[in-house]
Amino acid sequence: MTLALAPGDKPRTGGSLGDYEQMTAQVATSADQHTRVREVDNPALREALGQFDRLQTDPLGALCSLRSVTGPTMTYLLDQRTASFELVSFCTEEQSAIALTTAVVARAAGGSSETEHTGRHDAVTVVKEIAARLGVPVRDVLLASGISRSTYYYWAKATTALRPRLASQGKLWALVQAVEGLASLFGDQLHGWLLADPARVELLRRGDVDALLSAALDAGVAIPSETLDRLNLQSPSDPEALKRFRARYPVPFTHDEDGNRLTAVESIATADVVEAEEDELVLIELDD
Amino acid sequence: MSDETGPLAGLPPADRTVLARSPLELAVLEVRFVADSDDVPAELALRAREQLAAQGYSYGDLKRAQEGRVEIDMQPGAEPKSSVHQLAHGWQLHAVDGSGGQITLLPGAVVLQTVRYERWSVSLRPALEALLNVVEEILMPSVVNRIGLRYVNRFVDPDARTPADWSGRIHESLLGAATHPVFDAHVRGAQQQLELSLGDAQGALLRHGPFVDAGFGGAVSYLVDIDVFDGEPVRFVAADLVRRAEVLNRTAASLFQVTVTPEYLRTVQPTQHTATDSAEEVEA
Repeated sequence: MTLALAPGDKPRTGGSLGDYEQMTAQVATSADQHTRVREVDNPALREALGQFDRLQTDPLGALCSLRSVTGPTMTYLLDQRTASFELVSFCTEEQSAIALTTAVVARAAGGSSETEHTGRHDAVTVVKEIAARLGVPVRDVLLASGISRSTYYYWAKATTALRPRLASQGKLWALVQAVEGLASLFGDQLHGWLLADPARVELLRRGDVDALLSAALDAGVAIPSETLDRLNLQSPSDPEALKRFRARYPVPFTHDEDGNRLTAVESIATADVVEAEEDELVLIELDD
Repeated sequence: MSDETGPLAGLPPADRTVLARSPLELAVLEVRFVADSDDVPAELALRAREQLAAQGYSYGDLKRAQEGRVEIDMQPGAEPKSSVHQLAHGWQLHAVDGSGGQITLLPGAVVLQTVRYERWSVSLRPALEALLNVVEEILMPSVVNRIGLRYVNRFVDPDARTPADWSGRIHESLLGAATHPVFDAHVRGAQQQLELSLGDAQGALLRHGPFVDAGFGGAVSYLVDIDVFDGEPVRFVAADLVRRAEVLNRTAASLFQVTVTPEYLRTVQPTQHTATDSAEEVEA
């Protein structure tokens, strides 16, 4: 794995969370690059291979002092010889990604010209928020949205009030809307669902959001018909797939198949179950 | 060797002679594919073992394998939090004949690994062919994401006390600071990784460097770790994957032979042969 940062990136010394994010993104990418060695019995060879791992994952060196399986940089052999663990780190923002992203989308939708609604800070912020929300490195979001790394870091570092042209922002805003759509389907489970299958991450990197939604369909998730119609996707009914999906991901269903919001389950409280007749229970909805 | 099965990216074809003193320590072939679940049931692992045994590949030892992810959550002003998540469960099959053979079956990958490597056509290809056929039948993967072949070589010389002692054996351009007029006597170890592009979705990672080898009384050994991969998504067809693995093998052999000097290569080849050798022999 190579941790040398691209020209123009922050130096590693004096790192911040941003540096960690970049480096851990490279760690994850590098781990995927390697043909993974599962076990090495020869201690001298294991140590030699481990030197590469430890040196190239600095400054996460303290974590790398765990016994490395060798091979994949961040794969560890813990107590069991047949167990391996990838190390992936996430940097999260305190501010709600959902709120910020939604706000930016609303601003973009309401603007009358690109200079009014597409500021540098908007684009940089949205990229970061999408990355945090999906649990993927910023680089993946840049790939998905077609924004070059140099452009992105130019925006991020610029001290003047830049107003990048819409063309420079690639498919970012389409990606925002797609993420919003997926988030409405998966809620807090979105990043878990995405990261559970490398193929989905690859679809994201390609910016193929339609295929990503198709993958959600394949997994059995219910997508509102209007969304499917807009994307020209076919959704054959498969109750068994739906059950399997729900068993794996506790996704709350918020819309019916026509896209109408369902009555919130939270608005029905146990205390509101009253006896109407001797053997009949009636649910009374709260007013809020 | 046809163009179709030669090394990737027009690399020079490798000599096919088997090395008399092979530095190869470890050979790994990994096929990653789209996982349809997060578990390989014991029944499937047992069937795989039985079918491999029927083809003459005995892996008597069966162990549970698992893959997980350690997540570190870092927020400004707060202590980092870590958590461990189980991602997948599978099985490891170990040969009990002392050959060091090992197979790992995971929902999204199958790995064949050996520490006793004679030649591709003997040590890897037949076992790979059998394994992929079994996987194709039992796990029924659909799309292959990546196929990788990794050879870890360790050149040893009990008389080598400094990295510079490998001058004339490892290609000079790779030795770097080890041959520097001032640094040479002080360098104890070095690690370099080359990332090579060998096609749109093909490439290689070459990790190499001298290191103090505790296994040889503190002598300086030289590690050459070649990882060649093909990341083009394809349908899982065992026969096709074997052919692609052969291309990777020829590529790895080519990279190996250009890592060391021709003179040194000749010293580790059998005296009765005149051609150069390869640790990752490419005879089909």
